[in-house]
Amino acid sequence: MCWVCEKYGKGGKWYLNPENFARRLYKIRKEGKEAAGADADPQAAGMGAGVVAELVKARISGDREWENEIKREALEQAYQTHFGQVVTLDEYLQILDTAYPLAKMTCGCRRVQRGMPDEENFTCMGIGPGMYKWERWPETYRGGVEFVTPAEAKEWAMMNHKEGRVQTVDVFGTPYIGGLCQCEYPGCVAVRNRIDYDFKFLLKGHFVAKVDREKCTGCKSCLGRCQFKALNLEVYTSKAYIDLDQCFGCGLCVTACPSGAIQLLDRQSMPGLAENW
Amino acid sequence: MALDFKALQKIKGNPSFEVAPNRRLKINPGQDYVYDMPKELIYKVNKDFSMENMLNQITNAGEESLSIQGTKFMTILIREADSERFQDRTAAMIEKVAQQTGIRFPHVFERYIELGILTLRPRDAWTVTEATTRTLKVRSYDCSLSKLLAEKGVKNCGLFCLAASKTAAEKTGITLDITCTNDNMGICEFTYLPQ
Repeated sequence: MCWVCEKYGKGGKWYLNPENFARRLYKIRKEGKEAAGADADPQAAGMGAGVVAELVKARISGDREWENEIKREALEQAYQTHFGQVVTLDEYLQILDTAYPLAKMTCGCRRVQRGMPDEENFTCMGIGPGMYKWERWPETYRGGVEFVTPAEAKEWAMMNHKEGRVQTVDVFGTPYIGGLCQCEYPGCVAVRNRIDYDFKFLLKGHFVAKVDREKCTGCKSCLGRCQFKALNLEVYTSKAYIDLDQCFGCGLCVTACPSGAIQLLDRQSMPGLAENW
Repeated sequence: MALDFKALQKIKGNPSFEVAPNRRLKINPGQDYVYDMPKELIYKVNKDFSMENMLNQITNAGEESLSIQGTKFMTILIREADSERFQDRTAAMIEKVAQQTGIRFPHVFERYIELGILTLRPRDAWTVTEATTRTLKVRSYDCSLSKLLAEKGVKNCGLFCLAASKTAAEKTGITLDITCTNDNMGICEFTYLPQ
């Protein structure tokens, strides 16, 4: 179990615990800023985007201590408010039966990083009671929202998985899970910050993928699916190779393999990876 | 995994396409909505449902009248919460989503339960511990109503909340199995399961 499970999982995985999706619909109205909800704009949360410029400066200067200090401070804040974790499709589908309401929305990361037009960018999902108040943040939801049933959401999640997006859960006020992302490198701020800067706003999932070399035919179907630079073709055997240290356990390679040669294994079952989140 | 390679090949569609015509909601520029519960609703409900009168009636008529009072309270709350004066954007959106998806549980029902707690005991600590389409759980800590009733010698305070919940369920058009657990240490949790 990861540290979030230990704290909020109640004996299981924290993102499958219904308590972490439940929140009150109402509070007593206050005047001013809080009433407008300006304090909790989901887009402003940003998965570490706010400190990346400073991080780049630190990296260019070569001052590792400064870089680590920036990360430490930012993560301390993030783990109390806003961070994410990779989940498998199977877990994602379970979550869609646990959270409600479910609303398709546009991805703020892809909009900013890749200039995706709103009508082609419905790859995120806002979940939970906060979505009834989506109009509080017109810029975040400028593409609109689409409330869906759990069955419709599952179909949509599978389309995203097929297109090769990593599925994650996102916290908005730990441990409340208010968003489900489906994204890819380099469009996703969380994935990019983790891969390029080892900035742990995005935690690795509870699984790692392993190749069965007997079954692998070297067809290369899986190669383009990995968003974490963990998959390669071993030149001398012409078979897929997964760097377990780099693997986030999203399972995108598993469903891309026509020979069923890739399996997900429990991260905890591998001593060298058990604490590698 | 729920899907393997073969199953994934059968999945068709573009995730950005609209699920159904007119499902997509757009920002209404210039609109400034209110979402939270106004204090005025507390004043209005408490004016029409006097706690003092209720306690007197229960003292005279016994615990059985708790159910009558719970029903009366929720009837008043629903009338006011759904009135033009107190309608808010949260309520409008909950109803809109229910109409679009056909799913009315938990939130159409939960709204009345939450407003009931906030109007009757606005200073109490309470939380929603589960809110899925199959289960709703609402937990209260050191319920002030329970304490007031205990002072009058009433132990089975859950009858009031049970009756209020049933009234809300009837209004919502949902048949619910309702249970209450009280640990006698101040934590009380109601569980609602649609039948």
